[in-house]
Amino acid sequence: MDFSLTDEQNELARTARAVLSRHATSAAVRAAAASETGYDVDLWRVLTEEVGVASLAIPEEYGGAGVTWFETGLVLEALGYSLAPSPLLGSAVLGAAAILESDDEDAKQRLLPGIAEGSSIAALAWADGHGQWNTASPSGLAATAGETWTLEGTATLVLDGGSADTIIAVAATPDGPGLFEVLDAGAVGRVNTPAVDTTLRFSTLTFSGVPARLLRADAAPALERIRDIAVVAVSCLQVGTAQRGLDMSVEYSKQRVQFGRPIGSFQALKHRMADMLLQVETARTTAWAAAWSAGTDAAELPERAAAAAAWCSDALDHVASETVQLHGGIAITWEHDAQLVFKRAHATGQLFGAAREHRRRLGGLLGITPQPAEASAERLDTAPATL
Amino acid sequence: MNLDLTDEQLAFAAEARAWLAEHVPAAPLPSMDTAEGFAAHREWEATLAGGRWSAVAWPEEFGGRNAGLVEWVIFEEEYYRSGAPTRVAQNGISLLAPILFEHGTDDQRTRYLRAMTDGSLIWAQAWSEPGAGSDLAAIRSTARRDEARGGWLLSGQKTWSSRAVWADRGFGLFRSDPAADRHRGLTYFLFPMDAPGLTVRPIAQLDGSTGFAELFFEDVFVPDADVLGAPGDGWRVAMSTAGNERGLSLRAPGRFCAASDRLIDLWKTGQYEDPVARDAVVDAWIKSEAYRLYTWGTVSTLQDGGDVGAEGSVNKVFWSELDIALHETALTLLGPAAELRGAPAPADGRWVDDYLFAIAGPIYAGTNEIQRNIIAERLLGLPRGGDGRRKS
Amino acid sequence: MKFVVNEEQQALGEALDDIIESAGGTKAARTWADGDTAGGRALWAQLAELGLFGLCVPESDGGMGGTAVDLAVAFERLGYHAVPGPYIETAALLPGLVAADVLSGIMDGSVMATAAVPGIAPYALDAAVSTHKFVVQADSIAAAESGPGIASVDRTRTLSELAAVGRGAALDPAAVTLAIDRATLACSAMLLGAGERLLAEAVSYAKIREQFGRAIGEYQALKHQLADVRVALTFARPLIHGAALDLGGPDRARSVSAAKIAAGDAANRAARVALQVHGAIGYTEEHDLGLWITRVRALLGVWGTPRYHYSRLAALLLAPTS
Repeated sequence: MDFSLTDEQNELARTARAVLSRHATSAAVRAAAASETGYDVDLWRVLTEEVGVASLAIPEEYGGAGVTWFETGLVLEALGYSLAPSPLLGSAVLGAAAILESDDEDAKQRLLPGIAEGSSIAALAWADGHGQWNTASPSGLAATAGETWTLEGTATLVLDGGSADTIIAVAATPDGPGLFEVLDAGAVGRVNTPAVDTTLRFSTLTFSGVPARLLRADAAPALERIRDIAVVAVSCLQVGTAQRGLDMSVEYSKQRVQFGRPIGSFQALKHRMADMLLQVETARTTAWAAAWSAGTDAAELPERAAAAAAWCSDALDHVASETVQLHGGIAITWEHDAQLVFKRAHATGQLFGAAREHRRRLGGLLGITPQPAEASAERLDTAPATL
Repeated sequence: MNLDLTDEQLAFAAEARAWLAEHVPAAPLPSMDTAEGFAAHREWEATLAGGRWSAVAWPEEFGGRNAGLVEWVIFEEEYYRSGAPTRVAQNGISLLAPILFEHGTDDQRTRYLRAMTDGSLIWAQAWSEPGAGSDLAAIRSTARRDEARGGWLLSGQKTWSSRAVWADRGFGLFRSDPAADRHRGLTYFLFPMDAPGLTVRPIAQLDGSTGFAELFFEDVFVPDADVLGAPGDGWRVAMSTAGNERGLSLRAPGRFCAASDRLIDLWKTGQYEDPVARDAVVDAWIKSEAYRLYTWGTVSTLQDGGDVGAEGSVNKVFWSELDIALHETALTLLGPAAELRGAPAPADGRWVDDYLFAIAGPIYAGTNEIQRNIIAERLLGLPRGGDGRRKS
Repeated sequence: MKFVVNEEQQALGEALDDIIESAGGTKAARTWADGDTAGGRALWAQLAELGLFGLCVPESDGGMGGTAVDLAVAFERLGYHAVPGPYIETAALLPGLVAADVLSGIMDGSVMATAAVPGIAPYALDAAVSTHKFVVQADSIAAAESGPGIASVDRTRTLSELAAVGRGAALDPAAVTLAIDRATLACSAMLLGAGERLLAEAVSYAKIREQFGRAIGEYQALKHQLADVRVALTFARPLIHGAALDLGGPDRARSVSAAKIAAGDAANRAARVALQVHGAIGYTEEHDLGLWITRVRALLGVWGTPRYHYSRLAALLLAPTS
């Protein structure tokens, strides 16, 4: 048992933070978000080539660094702090996780090295028209078997779907959900859907008879795991953003003077920031534990991922609201980065499910299930519910 | 980063679990704040010592197992999970002993440590005074030099002294230099509770128990051999106790993990369907788990040679608030039966008893207001002295 | 629209305060908790003389013909002084459900009645002291015998299970639900009173208790906690008075549920903050604060927990309109 970073992990986190603080200034983040790709291509090159951020969780046999999702999580935390847009989550987490969960050795050999290198951007088309990432019966895309498989339908909220050269799709088959590699990425209709958080780039992808290769049939268990990895990654991103909100608030409250002294010396505000720190610290703890479980394929992954997803979303939501409250009016101006924290909180709070849904899912995993409907109906007939 | 236990640690956990399963009394002991319950808890300490489980982290020569911090946390988890009795020896083992190890004389260690582990010597703590609660440096009780007898005469009043009604000895700070101000001129003393001149008046709590007492000192003689650390150095000596009480030793995560497990069982055995209450049950699990993991982080920091310092305040605020939320959730589930105490009540009224204990959490061991000040000033670097209105 | 307490109601509240304070304030609660009910029963008789138990009984039946707002005003005072005894049962629940002879005994103070209502209030309060015990079912009421007393977190409360004796009398189910809602309203008002007292105690203590050389009330963190309690209580009161006005109307159930939720939340917050402001002294038995802290905890669970009332309110508000 050792809940502390190794020297290598510390070094990785330090390097990522250093690169980002140099390149992802407030102006650079805004310029990148407004650019055509939606991210800073030069920064991505530095991060992938010099730090190797996209290769971390990919095994060495596929051109990766062969460390784990935990290390990816550390980089995501630094990215969350910087607020910089980046294809790391869409490509090196979602895309790579889907390929790693496939049964297709050839696809792994062919696709993963480019993703690890950062030269290839992958995207995972999964969410349906209601923005649901369903693991058992995805309803956005349908696959039909023929000479080759073809895909039909619409996938929403595809992270980095606009710029991806490799598209992996989750589609319903007559035998349950399947994972597919889209063979002709050019045949996919792509419409960018501007998000409240401009640092996340989403697209809606439409498929009409697009040829695809089956990477894994009977993919429900794989999707469970991909979802767990995805929510862990988002949790790490949220921890970084929450830390940013806290730091921003502390810094501002030391400088801003009211009634003749810095507002950070007022006990009421001090205590609110102390509570923010509590949220950030516990969020980091749950996110790290979940990321470690993802990285080591630990048996506790489903519970820890759901707990982290619920806790970190709520923590960032709280911290972001307090950040706005502590800054006052300037927080809601375009110029101030507090609005980026706030929007990041609201966008990531919905990605792969809201905190409430993760909490309910966790309840199911722990056996905290609602009583059968018949039993409760019967009870309500005989006596007033006591609850 | 590695959240797995080693084979040795797993074996240690299994050994503790097996021993506890065999020895933990089947029926809960009477409250330790009654004469009968105190004796029963004292006896349980002796049983624990028989298995060498009283103070696992201590050196073997004092009855410990020389176990590391990780093993200590593991043992605490197993201890609470087994439903074993509350430790009546806690003041001595968790608060005083760390100071004896650090500042005590060999003679003091020999006289006191082993006797702490087998229940033969139970300690009361005597910190607060009517005018010195959270503001401990405001202590007014005095110690006067008695050269002729080679010791000190203690006078004054202490309050909120836990276990004092039945304890054998007590420890606390007294002002030995009347001219010195606040943190200076304090000395740490060890004294017998039956010393001439010492009067103990029990304080009944709102839950009906008498876990605390007021102590009245009238020239209570303490020999030099029972001064802990140097005279006048009491504040520095004592602060390691405060750190202990607020940090790891007082609230091991096992307590909350066990409570959240019981809450989940309560949900499973009851006929509940309310989705919001269900979320609250799940939340209790998440918080207990977060606290458990956070504690592992603290343990790792300590093992790497780091210092807990102000992070103990983060611990304190988090566990005290999670404890209340967890018990409020249980009471909500119990509905009209929640207020009942004693045998006819669900779980013999344990939920409401533990709730009453929980609501005191934000007060003792440094109020949560004090803790938030510490977090804000020491961890976040916010300016001091901004409390309340400025006085002209 | 005039949404304020009128002069008569204010006078009623003051009369209650005078009587209870003359009887020693919280003394009745303390002796009652120790098993000596004489003081509490004497107070009961005095309050009966004032007309408390006939407040909501029509004048044609010999009552005061007052409104539910009068009831809310009175029960807030009972909560404020932590008065012990089965007042909710005798003065709010039972008057519309019992036979005429019992009702006249209730009004003249000779009857101290308690009741168990399966589900929402399954344990009868103070059965051993009560002259009459009833089990109230959805469509009937029956005299009952009590089982052994069970201690409560609130030391002034002793609870018992009741067993009906005989078949009892049939009741109009609508009368039963109205009676339960009236009891719930009385309970909400009692919670409000307890919350007001907790706040008042905390504020006075914060002004005199010094730490680090200044009154603790000067510290912003405590000041803001107290202010939040003020806000919560201030917004609970109109919901309680609104529910009292709605007691005879179609919105009764939802207004009563909203009142119980708001009163419970505010009182619970008041209890937490008052204890925090007092520190360890508030946790002692000899300090009165525990009377209200434990009373609030007990009343949160009876006459519908917050979760029960949330569910009922949600069902009423979100029911599809036809």
